Amino acid sequence: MTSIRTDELDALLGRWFDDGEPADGMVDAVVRDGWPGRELVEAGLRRHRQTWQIDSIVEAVRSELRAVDDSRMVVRWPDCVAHIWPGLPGAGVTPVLLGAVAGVDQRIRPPSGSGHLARWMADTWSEAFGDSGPAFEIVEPGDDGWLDAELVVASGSDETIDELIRRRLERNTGRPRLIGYGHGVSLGVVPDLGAWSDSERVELAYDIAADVVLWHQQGCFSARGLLVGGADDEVDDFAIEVGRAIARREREWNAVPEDEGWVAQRAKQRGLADFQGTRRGDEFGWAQLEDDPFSGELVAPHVATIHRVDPQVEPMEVLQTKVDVPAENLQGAALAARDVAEGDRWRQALARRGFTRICRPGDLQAPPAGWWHDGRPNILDWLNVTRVDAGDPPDID
Amino acid sequence: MPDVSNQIVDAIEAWDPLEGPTTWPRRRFMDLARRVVAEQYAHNAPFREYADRQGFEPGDARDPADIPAVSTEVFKHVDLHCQGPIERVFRTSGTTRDRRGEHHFPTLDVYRASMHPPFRRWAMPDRDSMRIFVIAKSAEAAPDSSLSFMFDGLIDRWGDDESRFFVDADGDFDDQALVAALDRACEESTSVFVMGTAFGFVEFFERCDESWSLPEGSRLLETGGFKGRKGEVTRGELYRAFGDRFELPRECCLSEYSMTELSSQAYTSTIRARLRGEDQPAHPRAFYTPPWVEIVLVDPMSLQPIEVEGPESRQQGSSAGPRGLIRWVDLANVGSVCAVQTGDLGSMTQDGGLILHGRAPDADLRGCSLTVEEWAEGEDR
Repeated sequence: MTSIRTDELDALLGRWFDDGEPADGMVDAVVRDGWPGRELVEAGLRRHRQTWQIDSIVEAVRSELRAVDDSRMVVRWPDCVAHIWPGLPGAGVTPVLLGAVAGVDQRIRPPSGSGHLARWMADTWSEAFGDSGPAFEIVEPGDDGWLDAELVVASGSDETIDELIRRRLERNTGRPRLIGYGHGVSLGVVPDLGAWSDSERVELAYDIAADVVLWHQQGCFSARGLLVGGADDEVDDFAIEVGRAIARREREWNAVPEDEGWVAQRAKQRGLADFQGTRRGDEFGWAQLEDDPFSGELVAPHVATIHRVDPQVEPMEVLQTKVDVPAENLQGAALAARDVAEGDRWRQALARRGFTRICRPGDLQAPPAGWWHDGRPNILDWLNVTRVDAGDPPDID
Repeated sequence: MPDVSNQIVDAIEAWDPLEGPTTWPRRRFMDLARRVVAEQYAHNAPFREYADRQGFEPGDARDPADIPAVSTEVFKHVDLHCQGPIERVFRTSGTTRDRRGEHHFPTLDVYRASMHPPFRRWAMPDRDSMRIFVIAKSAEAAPDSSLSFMFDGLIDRWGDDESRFFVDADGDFDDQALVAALDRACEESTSVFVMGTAFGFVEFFERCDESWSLPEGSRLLETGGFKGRKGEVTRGELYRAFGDRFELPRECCLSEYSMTELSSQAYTSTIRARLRGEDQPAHPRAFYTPPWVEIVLVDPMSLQPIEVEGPESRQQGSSAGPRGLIRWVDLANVGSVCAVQTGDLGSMTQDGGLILHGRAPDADLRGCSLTVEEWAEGEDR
């Protein structure tokens, strides 16, 4: 690593946020990228701000590099890293900031048809870093400039990652280096409603609704379902509360999508939920009682499935029977456990089941910069490490 | 059940398909609708539970929009039929990601009865028989396909001895046999009626280079399905191909619109207008339904009926009204549920026609994980 450029990063983040509030230009860019609800965009970016703390970013890099802090290990960083950004605004930015800390040149391929945020960030990047900093270069869709980068970082389905590797293989003679993050889903867990008073349940539902509605439930940290412990009536009442809270968040964030596809999907699923009598809530989204295990499927935007669980059953047994998602696709769990011992049991079970992050409700969409994406280190995989077991290590920095 | 089915069959058979009006007075329609819904309420338990939750009393329905509509999505999850033995189950075409919907029929008598009069009115107002070629599987080869059942019924009732299907049970399309059959029809100056899904025609045009000048009186029927495994074709492209390859004007090409969850069909009216020397419809793509069907458009967000009665509700500069999700109230759906909420978008013309704007697009998922389609969309344009 050349040097940690905290001054320039500070200047960059100062252009992105003013006293914690997202810059108008950034909000405009996200809205122009097709994300309705300015208030929702602001709320989402405020949570990104919690992730993009300079101290956390620097510490995230340092903590991973401790693994190679050995005089016999010679570390070489890639000359250039290409990032294939997915559609969710801000997803993919954290690795770029980690790369900036390391002084690595980076190329960004924004999502097709929505590159306003990437271009706005590129402009602010050059203002902050000037000519001397690591590059932040935009590669437009259709431009194969990303193929030359030594390393590619992408979030996509297995099929997408295979396609990227195929294109790299067509172009390169060497083995392609590609870090692929897969599809992930998140949920909320309230192990025992009985531990919460009525007024606390209202607040809890409101926090959970933030995890559901933010970014229209499109992110891997969006809660798509909830495991709720309690009697049938109690869980039904809580589902009603979650439905109300979803409506409240939608109103506060002006978060009603107009996309024809989303609206039609909602209409079909609402028809099914009404027929089965499982809908709780009366705005764009709702809470939906489900007998089946949590599958991670998105019912329709802003819809949270509610799965009743028995508070007396051991957490691991609950997770094995009530969560029908492969471990490699599990991402975040927002856990609302009041009892300390109960919380410990649940955290242990959630980690064993495969979740890569556990937090409190309302915080799902603000992972710290040091969160290991898909449970893997963020930048150790970027490195080429030579171990020198004879003679003095060469200085190649 | 049989009583109501018989009443509907009687009402269908009493309709004069050539000269009768395409709507019944509201009172007559609702009188029959209440009887059908009362039977469904009495004998279709899942529907009754749903209706009860809606606070619906069958006897209180005064308008087609009053009848609780059942989403097509429900057919994927619930057996929606009146109690008793089932004569046939039709299934929607499935994808690997999606469950298949199932429509259970205690009897197909009403389906059979409702199939022919609209076909007579909009497809065969001038004759009783034709040579029919179908680019699809027969009902024997695809017993769970409502489309194949309809084609089978049409060939049986309206086809001559040379009429046939050109896709076998394995899905193999004998395009060369169709080429030979069209050649022979041209040599004999025998008019033909070629039917198939939009992508059935596309596949035929891709497989062969020939073109024909089909004999006078020939016509085509496409049943939609503009999206296929190999991509998408627009209606305009398909109809241009009809002109190029069959030398048939647009007025000789008919569109049919229905779905597995229904028992009736809607047709465009260009052939009828041409053969009867009437003015072509203002909207050549407008579909018309028989009188036992009412179309209700609902707001996609509120799912409440859209007011489309007066000309003031039409969009300025167009005779088509506001867009909404299409709800069918099909009284021939006696054995299941008669009000079916689709995910298709449509608008109404001033003369009661339905402009189909297509199935609402798939929800655009734009999350943390890029799909290969999103990737390719950017790279390959």
